[in-house]
Amino acid sequence: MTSAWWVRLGGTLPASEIAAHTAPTYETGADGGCLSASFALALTPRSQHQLLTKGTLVEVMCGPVPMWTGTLNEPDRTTWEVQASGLSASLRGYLAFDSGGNATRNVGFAVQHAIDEGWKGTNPFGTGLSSVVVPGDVSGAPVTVGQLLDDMCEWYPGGLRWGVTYRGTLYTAPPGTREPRWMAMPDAAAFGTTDENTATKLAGSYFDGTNTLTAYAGSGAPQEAVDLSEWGTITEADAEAILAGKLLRRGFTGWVNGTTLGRNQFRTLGGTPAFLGMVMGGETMRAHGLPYTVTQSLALDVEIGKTRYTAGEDSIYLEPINTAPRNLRAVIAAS
Amino acid sequence: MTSVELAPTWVIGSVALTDYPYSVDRESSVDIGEPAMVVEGITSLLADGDLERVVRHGNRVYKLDIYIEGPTLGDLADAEAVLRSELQRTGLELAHDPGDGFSPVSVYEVQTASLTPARRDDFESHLMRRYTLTLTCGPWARSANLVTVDALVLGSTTPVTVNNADTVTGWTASLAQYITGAGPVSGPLTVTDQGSYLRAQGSGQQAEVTLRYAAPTPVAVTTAPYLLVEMSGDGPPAFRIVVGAGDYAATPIMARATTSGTTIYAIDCLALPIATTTINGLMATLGKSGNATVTLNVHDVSQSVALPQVTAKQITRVIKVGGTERTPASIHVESRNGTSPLGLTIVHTSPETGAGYSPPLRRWRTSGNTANSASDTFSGAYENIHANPVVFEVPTSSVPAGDYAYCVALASDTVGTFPITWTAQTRRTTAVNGEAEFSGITPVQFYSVNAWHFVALTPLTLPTMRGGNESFVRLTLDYAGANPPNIIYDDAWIFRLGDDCAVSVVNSVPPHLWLDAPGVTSPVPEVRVGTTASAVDSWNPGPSLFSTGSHILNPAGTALFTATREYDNPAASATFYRRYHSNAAT
Repeated sequence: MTSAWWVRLGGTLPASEIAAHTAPTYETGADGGCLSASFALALTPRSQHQLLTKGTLVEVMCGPVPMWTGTLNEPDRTTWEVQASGLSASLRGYLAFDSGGNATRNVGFAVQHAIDEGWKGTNPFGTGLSSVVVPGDVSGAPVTVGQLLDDMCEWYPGGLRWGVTYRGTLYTAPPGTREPRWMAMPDAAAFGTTDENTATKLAGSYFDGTNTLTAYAGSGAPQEAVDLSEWGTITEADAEAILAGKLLRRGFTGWVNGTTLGRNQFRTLGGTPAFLGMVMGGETMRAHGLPYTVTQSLALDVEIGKTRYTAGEDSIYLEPINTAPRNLRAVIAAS
Repeated sequence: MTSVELAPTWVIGSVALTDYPYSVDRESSVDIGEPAMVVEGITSLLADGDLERVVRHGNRVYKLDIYIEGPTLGDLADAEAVLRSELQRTGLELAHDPGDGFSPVSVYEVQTASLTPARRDDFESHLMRRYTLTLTCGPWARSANLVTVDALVLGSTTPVTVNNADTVTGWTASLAQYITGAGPVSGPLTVTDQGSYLRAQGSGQQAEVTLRYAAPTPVAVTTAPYLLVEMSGDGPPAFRIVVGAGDYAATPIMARATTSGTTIYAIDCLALPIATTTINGLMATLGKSGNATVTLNVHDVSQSVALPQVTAKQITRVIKVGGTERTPASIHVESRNGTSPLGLTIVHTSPETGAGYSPPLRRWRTSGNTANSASDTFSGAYENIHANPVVFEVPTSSVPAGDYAYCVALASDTVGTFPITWTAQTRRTTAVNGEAEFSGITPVQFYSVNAWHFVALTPLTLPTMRGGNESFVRLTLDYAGANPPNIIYDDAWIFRLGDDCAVSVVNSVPPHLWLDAPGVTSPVPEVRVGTTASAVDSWNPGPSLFSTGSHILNPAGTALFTATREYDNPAASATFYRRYHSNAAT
């Protein structure tokens, strides 16, 4: 049991000042950073509190450090099961406008406008995005800031993922496995592989202002056709960049399962049992004892697609990026 | 088998269940229940067996059958009403005295109470009624009375000299070595007076030098249990403490390097394998492999009530808890004079491991920029965090593996948000231990000019790599952007956040801070600050609360770290119940 965990509401108040509550469970993802969090408060249907309303800043804290940041969804007063969404999700509730109120494809303008309109995250350094203008026209209906960031990540050379950190800061990161930060001990984890939903060559139809043309990225098979008409008028180079980005973000191997690992099974590369609460989607883990023929490696490096952790517990659920749906709920969610 | 006359009593709230008109049916068994274990199991996909661990304990159910009797059935109903009203009170407790006159009272904290009547004509006609009382209680039996561990007495943290190692009186040495053909051989070695310190030096195959001190009179260690041994030489020695005719291994709980090149080792004489109130001497042994010369120097031996304070405003002490189960504590921090404000206050509790862990990092600083002394800081100094990065190197042995928060007190001469970079790495001498470092950039918002901001930089898993005694955890602090403003730091900390650790950080604290343990009346911890010891004007710190936690004490001992920026030597006391499995012990 760890007693350093707490939940902070509105940036100041411990949720326990309102009522005793369960340990929060939170999810992070390679796409989106902080995804969702939930906990239950010991309140009655008659209870109310000014901070227990939609939009309140929720931070899952361990000591003085925020480990997850998001905003409250309208709580269910019959159960007081409280759900919160990450700040990346709330960017899908702001339209991409500039300060003059015109639809824009300039990411920096759009994020700043969302902040001015009340989005609770920060973009302190521009994260290199302040001058990025994503191709596509703005003559149609404006897209959300979240969609604009998705578009940027697909189009950006080499592809990107975006999300919001546990501190509420917008970030972008290149997709794919990197220098591993964590390792699963031998025999602790096993991941099944599948070629389902993978593609190594994409063909995309796009509109160059006059004609509908086709652009390609990748080689070999399986091949897949993609419709890029939603982007409006774009150049061939942009279309190819978008396709290449899609390929990279999807990864080349599909996985069939997630895994639950205990603290002693999941460690730093140096062998210290991991602080499970700080593991974020998008980080790379090395699963020892799993030779992987695709990369001719004796250990398997996977990009963590999703984590689910309950504050203070000694185990964490991890899912590699590109995990194929393998139960009914996941299949419905994926379709 | 001996047998004693028993007169057990049960009192719930203010109702004595063993006094007329109530009585407990002791012949049908009283079921005192057991704490329900909550076990977390991890199944490995490939290995045999499951990993199981007790996460926590749930409640116990305490059941007893009682009778109510009286002159009329109306009196029975009245007595039932009295009992029922009592059972509905919040903060209800059941106190049980086993009744042999020797055993202490055990108290069970009642969460819910149900009363199940069993009606029978023969009972009614005899003017008695029988009930089953089912109490859902907290898991542990606790002591009836609170235990208070008082704040350390003012000034008592100054160590008292046991032997200043200026003369060889009382000191002897020996050399053990391996001689080919003869095997291991041990012989005396001369202790030489080097002026302000003593030296024992010997050479040979697998040489092992032992320095011994025999105190002329026994040294009392009950009130000042920390023996501080300042040494230098070829490495950290192994210590043994002499008690009577025997000597016992003692692992230092602190090894702090000093600027003069020596290291102070602190040994807790109350944590020896033998319980004692006095010690008779100590031994320090250092060996080397191969054909080697081994040097051991002793500079000073003194004893202290507390582990030496890190700075005047940062104190670590160990609280001896007792009992067998962990227990929530109320912690009271007050300024030494009772009236001066404490300012930003940090309270951190962690299970005492003997590793010598303490959160502040400045004492481990190895490089950086020009440091300026300042009395209104935690560390006694401040320093720019650029152009050079500030580097702290903490011995890995003093960093118990686990979860940490890397925090720092920063001030900037410019308002705004600035990128602060940090790294964490494990090294052996100057070499990287072959692993990637943890690093990151934390955007820090400075709200006001030249004011200290408490900044939680990042969570960390430390040490980043497991290592032997020679490795150290290297942490850095730097500014990442262009056109740096003047950003200074006072001190940085690594706070353990793992099992049974908690850290509370409160800003602008008046002379008193209370961190109240969760209990029956409030299931959550509460934080209050106030200007008087009586707490009549206490209030919740609101936005000044930077961090909170449930300060749980470990029965084997808890390290309590207290830091207050505005006044020296904060007085920190802890109040708690000792908790036991089923019956309170003395």
